Amino acid sequence: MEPEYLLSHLREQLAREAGELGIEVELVEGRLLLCGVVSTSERRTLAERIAYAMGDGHEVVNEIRVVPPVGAEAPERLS
Amino acid sequence: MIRVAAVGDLHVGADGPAGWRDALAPVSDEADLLLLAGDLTRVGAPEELPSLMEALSRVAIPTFAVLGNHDHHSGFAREVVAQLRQRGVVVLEGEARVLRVNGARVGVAGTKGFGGGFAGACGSEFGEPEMKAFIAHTRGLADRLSAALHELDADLRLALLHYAPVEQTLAGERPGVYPFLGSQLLAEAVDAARADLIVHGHAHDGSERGVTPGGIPVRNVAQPVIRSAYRVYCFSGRDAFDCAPAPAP
Repeated sequence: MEPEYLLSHLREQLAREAGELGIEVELVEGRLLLCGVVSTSERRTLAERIAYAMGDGHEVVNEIRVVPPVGAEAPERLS
Repeated sequence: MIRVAAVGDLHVGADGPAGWRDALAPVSDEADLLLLAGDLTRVGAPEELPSLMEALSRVAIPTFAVLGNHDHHSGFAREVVAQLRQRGVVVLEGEARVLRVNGARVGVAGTKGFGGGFAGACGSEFGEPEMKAFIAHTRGLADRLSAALHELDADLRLALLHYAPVEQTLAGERPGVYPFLGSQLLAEAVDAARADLIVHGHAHDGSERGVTPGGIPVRNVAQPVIRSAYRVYCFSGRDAFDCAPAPAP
């Protein structure tokens, strides 16, 4: 499958199956590179599983970061 | 002093509140009200709502919300709204509400908003019915927001969106997707009616700070952007306000 279609189909599946629209997908030196931010490690793993399932045999490099919600920083004064 | 907390894109799923319950717990001490800028759920499914309610269970300050595209995905947006309202969250769909904080009237007008693009790369209500419907949807929501703000009688005026009103807070996203992330029509609507702050979410790879052509501060509070459970914005210095010192953050 042409890389352009492969990447589009993978993005579509990440949205449909995982509800993830914010994951970047690239094909770098024959490997599928996943980048972006999710809130739990389970969601990170699910994205990788989908990438392997849809990846047409390509190795998957999962660089998705898990950023859980944590306390707020100092307030910003606007007026 | 008025302290406004805001966050969007919680994306709470059926797999649990994912840390939100504890992360949101301090907000009631650190702010006077909380704005939720849409995408509260992962796919807007009924089975996610118990997790969302648990995520909000320790929030004890007035809370306002708009829905996001994820909350509409499964076709149960009404159920999401009903559950939030039952919890006491004010869900804004093109209207405004006023509450009193420290003697001041704080007004919040909100809408989900939609896409369409920005100056030089905007869609138009031209051509196929689908294209007309796309832009007309955004324009209709922007018009309702503007009307709500025009009718709002408040000392502090806040606009709550899910989609972005300006390009600056999209910086970091691929420019090709900008038309799906927001619309200039939203900024134009708020500039026409005036506000003190616009908050939005939706653009996970965007930037936190921007400003409308009319000079209104814009903040992208999508959780992947702010990388914390919420941001707090403080307003003071107005005659109508009780400018007591802010508590330590």
